Amino acid sequence: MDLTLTLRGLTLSSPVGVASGTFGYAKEYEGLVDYRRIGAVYTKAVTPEPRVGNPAPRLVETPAGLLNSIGLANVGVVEFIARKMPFLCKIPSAVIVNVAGAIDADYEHVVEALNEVEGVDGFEINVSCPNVKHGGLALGTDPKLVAAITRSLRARTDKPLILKLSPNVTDIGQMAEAAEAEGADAVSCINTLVGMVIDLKTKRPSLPFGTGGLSGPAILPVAVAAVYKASRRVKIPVIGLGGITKWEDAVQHLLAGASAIQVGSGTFANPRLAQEVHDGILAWAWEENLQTIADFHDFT
Amino acid sequence: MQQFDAEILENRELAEDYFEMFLSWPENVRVPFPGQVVSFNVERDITPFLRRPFALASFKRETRVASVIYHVRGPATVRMAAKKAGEVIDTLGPRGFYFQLGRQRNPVLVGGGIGTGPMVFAANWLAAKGFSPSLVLGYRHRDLVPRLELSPLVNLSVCTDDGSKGFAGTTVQLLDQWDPRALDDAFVWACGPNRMLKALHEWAHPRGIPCKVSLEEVMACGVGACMGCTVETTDERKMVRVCTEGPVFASETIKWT
Repeated sequence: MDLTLTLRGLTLSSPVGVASGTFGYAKEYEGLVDYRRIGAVYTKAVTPEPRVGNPAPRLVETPAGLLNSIGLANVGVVEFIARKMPFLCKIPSAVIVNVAGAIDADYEHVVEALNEVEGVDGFEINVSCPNVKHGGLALGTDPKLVAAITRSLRARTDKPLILKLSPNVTDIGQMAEAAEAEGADAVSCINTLVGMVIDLKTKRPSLPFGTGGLSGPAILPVAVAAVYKASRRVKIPVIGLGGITKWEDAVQHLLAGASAIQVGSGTFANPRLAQEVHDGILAWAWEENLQTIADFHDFT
Repeated sequence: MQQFDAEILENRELAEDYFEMFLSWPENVRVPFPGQVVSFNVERDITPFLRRPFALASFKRETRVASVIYHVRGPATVRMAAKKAGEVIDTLGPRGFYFQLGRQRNPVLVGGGIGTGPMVFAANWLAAKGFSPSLVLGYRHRDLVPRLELSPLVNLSVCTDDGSKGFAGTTVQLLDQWDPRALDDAFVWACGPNRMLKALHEWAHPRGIPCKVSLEEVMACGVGACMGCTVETTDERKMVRVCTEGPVFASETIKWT
């Protein structure tokens, strides 16, 4: 049995990764997890400059989920290289740096700064953040903008380039096609959904900027549908994430067409989720006599 | 910090909707100190989705028994209250910076409502070290005042908002009435609602009394990864994570709003 995925020469030893924003820079979970059973760590989003992030409160629990408005709080690319990479270099998981920005040049800057850094195995591009050059519109909502950023970053790196797609669109398949056409090696489906909670005491939204990103088990069917749609439109691998809190959820993603998965906010409830999902997928594949990830795709 | 299944030894009601849960603390898990927290995944279920953090209320080294005092006020704590001795609970901890002694030798510990647990832990811990701590606890009403196990060296004062037990008024109003000599060489440690902590900071700071507060925030990961439990500091360039840089902070570092 071989459930590995190879992207542009990078082999992910486990189909299970940990999603950006839910695992910090990996050191936070030292002593709590077995990194050998985590195929890839998708880092907290990195921007050119440090970002303090949004005002509090940043979190609201929702029915079977979590609404967040963190605001891409991160240490910036210089600190990331100096203070976060040394630990990331030591773990056996592949290190995929999640890249975010407010303008296209931010993404270009981060990818260029990290391209030659030892231990950086690839990039995942967050196109869900508001882009100030495009009137606050997220790049991921327009296939032309997805194509443009993919083209620009493809020219800057030979490392695996993964576009992390937003579910807040009419046709996610169109975005996946745009990324594939410009040389992306994979797409991740999905980022968080836009949500809002209103506090009856204040009669105002609970989060300072009104909306936030919804994650957690509530979004599992939305994510599985997005993986299903996107994987039918492109030949590059789709990495499934959204709503996974047990191995059975991850198997749904794989059966829908994903070639690897990420666990996200489920890790908050159970730090050992990634390795438990890894074990569960392997055991199920063994029982069902599925030899490769492609075998999961024969049913739907 | 470790993730472990703790056996529940006892789960008893201390006052209306206030419970104390006693847990066995495995040998291989570090000894906790006052102010440190644990978080529970109360049920392996999708709702309530997140773990719940609680500051520890006691730890006995000889028997390795720890406890938390909690207020039943939502779906997670309702489920906690239903748990029986012999069941286990998924526990992550101990976590965070604890209350640490400075030069001063006159402890004044202040707790409000759900902030009771860590102040009881701190009071008994200081008493065992030879201090005679003052413990001032505030509640809305006498039915909410818990029955507590305190060292005889702890001087307890109870305040209620409606005057149904002890001093009629807030903890800070009581401190304001104290003879200033009782505050010689004093330091304040506190935990409770933010408005109480803010009032306490505004009372202690001008008097030159060092004041440390333990903050509560909604947490997702509880390990410093998600950046969700941040609070603003007096340094505008800096936010701090309650789970990692806290939960105990010097009160003058926090931007009180």
